[in-house]
Amino acid sequence: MAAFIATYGFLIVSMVLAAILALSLYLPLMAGQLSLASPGFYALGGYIGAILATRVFTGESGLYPVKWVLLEMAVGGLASGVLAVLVGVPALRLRGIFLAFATIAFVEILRVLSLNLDVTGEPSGSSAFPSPSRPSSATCGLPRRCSS
Amino acid sequence: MGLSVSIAGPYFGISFGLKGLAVIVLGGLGDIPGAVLGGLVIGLAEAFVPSQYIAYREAVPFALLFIVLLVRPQGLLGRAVVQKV
Repeated sequence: MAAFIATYGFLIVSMVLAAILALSLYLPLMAGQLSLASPGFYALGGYIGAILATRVFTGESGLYPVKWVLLEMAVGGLASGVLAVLVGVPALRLRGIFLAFATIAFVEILRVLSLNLDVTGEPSGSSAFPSPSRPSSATCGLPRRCSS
Repeated sequence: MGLSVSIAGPYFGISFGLKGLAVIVLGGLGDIPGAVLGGLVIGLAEAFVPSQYIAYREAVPFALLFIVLLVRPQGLLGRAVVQKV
């Protein structure tokens, strides 16, 4: 089991994340409107988690506490929700293809910002994430990173 | 385009395609003079970005598009569509 998770854990997590993102696009589509903004909120949540883990919650050495992981998730979700309200209230006026274009524009703005701001680490992003599980050669979560 | 940065890649057209989409929606969908006006407005706005903010130049067309869509949802020269129920 440990070997299976070591090999495929990253893949499974990526699949579940992509499935959740796809569902978040499908939800407004069920209501008859194509809103493509949720990759922006997904990116914001991910960046907030990454920044908190690598730059803010760096006090303790050793294992990264799970409660901080949960706190990161809560903060990321709240921040994405606030941004969604800020974007969504003016976007309520738009319908159909114009809503799709406006939300694409929002995601593009967020993409350019995340590629250029200092706090996001520019194009190279963040690295050296602390791990809440015990890192060892047998149960290393990311095979690609661990080989180096 | 590839010559200007001396490399070429399969994803070079994407930023231009998205920008073109922004242009046609900014001017008004289905309106040819509007598309010309939208292209001029977006090109000039991109060219007038100060040099210390040059990294954010790619975001300018989309910010403009977002603002214009919120102020005039039909585009700059587009005709307001009356929805028949």
